[in-house]
Amino acid sequence: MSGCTEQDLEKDFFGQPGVPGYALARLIFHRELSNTDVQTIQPLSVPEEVIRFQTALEKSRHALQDLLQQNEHEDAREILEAHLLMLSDPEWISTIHSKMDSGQSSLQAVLETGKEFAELLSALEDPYLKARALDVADLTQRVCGFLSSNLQSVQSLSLSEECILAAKDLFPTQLLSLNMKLLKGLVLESSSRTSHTMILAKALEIPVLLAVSMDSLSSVAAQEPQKAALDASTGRLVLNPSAKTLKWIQETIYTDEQRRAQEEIWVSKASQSADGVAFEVACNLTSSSEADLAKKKSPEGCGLFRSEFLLIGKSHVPSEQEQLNEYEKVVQKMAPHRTVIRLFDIGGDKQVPELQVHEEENPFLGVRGYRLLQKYPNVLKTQLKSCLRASRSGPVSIMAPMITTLEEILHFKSQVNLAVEELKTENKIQGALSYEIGVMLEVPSLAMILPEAVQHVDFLSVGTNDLIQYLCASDRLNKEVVHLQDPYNPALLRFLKLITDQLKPQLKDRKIWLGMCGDLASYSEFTPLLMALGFRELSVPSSDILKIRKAIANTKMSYANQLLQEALRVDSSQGLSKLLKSHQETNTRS
Amino acid sequence: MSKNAESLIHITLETGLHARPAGILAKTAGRFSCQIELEKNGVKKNAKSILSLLSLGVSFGDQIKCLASGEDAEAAVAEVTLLFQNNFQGPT
Repeated sequence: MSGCTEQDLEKDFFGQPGVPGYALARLIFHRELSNTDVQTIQPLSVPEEVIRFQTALEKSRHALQDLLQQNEHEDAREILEAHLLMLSDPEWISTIHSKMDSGQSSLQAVLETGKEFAELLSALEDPYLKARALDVADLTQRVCGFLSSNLQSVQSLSLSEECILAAKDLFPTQLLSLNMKLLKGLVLESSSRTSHTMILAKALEIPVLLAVSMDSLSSVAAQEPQKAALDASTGRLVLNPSAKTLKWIQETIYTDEQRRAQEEIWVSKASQSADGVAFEVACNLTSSSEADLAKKKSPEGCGLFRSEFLLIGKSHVPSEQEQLNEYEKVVQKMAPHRTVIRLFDIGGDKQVPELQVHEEENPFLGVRGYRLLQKYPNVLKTQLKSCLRASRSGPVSIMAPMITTLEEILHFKSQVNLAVEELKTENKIQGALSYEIGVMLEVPSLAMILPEAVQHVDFLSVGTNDLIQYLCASDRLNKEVVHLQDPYNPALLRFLKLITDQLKPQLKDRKIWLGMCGDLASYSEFTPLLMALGFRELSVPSSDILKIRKAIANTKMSYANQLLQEALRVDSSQGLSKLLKSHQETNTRS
Repeated sequence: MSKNAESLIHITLETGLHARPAGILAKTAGRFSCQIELEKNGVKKNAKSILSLLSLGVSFGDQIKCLASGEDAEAAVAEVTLLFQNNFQGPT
């Protein structure tokens, strides 16, 4: 009798919420194969190792071809096709063969060759080519997985039961190759929230916990897989949960699943208030492949296409044709609904040489957004031309970020006209073009010249994330003042009222439409207020579409107006939060 | 009787030789029986190997050479040159 209670066996690990959600399953580890693994393996005879390698090559090919068949995601397809080509690369194959000829095991040969090619690529300056070293590493792991039966590699791992997977990090293709029905959650050592893998996980609605040390986790989890309760919403992983913890997680999972199942009925419903007033719930996107996932929730268009994601890993701004290819895909997928393409919204902190600025002390208050585009009119013009050409494939709205003055709006308009003229001269378009132009409302100064500004645009979209930042003079990335990024600050609501009051005549006459694309749009307790204020469109991450659609449908306009009046009288953040949350409860019950 | 052919190519691909064009080039080169190489600044790489092509680091504005030796060397060089001239647009 050890005197050890089950509570003692339970062990907590804390990390950062990556994608919210819950899971209860066995925890299994994925570890990349490395040279230390290789040393324990005795090579067979050369011909035997050659056969091993050929077999592994064939299996890898089939695995990739299967993945290609199953996968609609365009980014994934491109990667998979490149990997297939790499598998037939004569230099790669001959290097592996010569190593095997000199007596190395196939595993060692593949690992070393992979390392050599990856190093060659990493040595290049071009960030895109540098990143291809990752592809070589990914592919090497895939082939090695078939070469070694003792060691598990994700690509050859066929999940036979539900599990929570723990790893240092995962490549996007590794994530996509896993059986989604069996993958209940992810625990990663990486803390990047914006990596491609994270964006995919969010779209796939897999709970992810970040920033958990694999060394400390595996030292407790030992050799045998253990049961684990994952709470990725709060940021906790519990190994060997006690009966009490088990009960709690099972109830939480059940409630969560009920909520999701109930939400699914909202896929096919219209976004309209309880008394029939129409709204639009659109999706925020970073790529055309994300659009495929978003479409499952029937968004009424894309309210924010973050075009700057096209610049990631590139050493040059993509050409007009390359941008057109990407924009066209999204526009076609969203049609007949509109796609709002926001022009490159970045500061001069990226490595793209065409968009460099001198080092700044306050980059968020410096040359970014439209200011940067004004400095580089050729980049602006190229992007405008590709957006305009994309409008042939479906409704396109072009949006300028971080607009501060009326002069900038006039400049934007004239640049659009110039782009149209140039397209006509180059014979790239025939006939009339149909498109919308608009601006983001995130710099407070714009709110003070709205009557003039709206004469020149077709729409406005409020970017609450940066708006709160500028309004409350606090840096989003500064932990010391993040508490000032408070959506319940009465100042924000009153500021929104200041904006919409000025727009009443135009909104009434439908001369412009008003949308929101910041985080605030995802807060369902704010939805009635936004409806009453006059926001016609709310653009949110695809995982929030159904929640907001439901909130709209549960709200009568008369109720929304009443709640707005009440909310405007509240003078504290706590008071507003209390008011909205209590109203949300009564509203959903009735 | 081994034939040799070569051509000088000026890179107008805005993104340089990235995975997509490198893949197309490797596939195209693979169809010929002759040996085909690309040369940049004295470094030669097998044009049938996508990894070797990527590691050559060909960027916008570079001057490179395409070299081939074998039976169909001339046809090979012509087709590779055409690929670059068209910036890898068109059916593959």
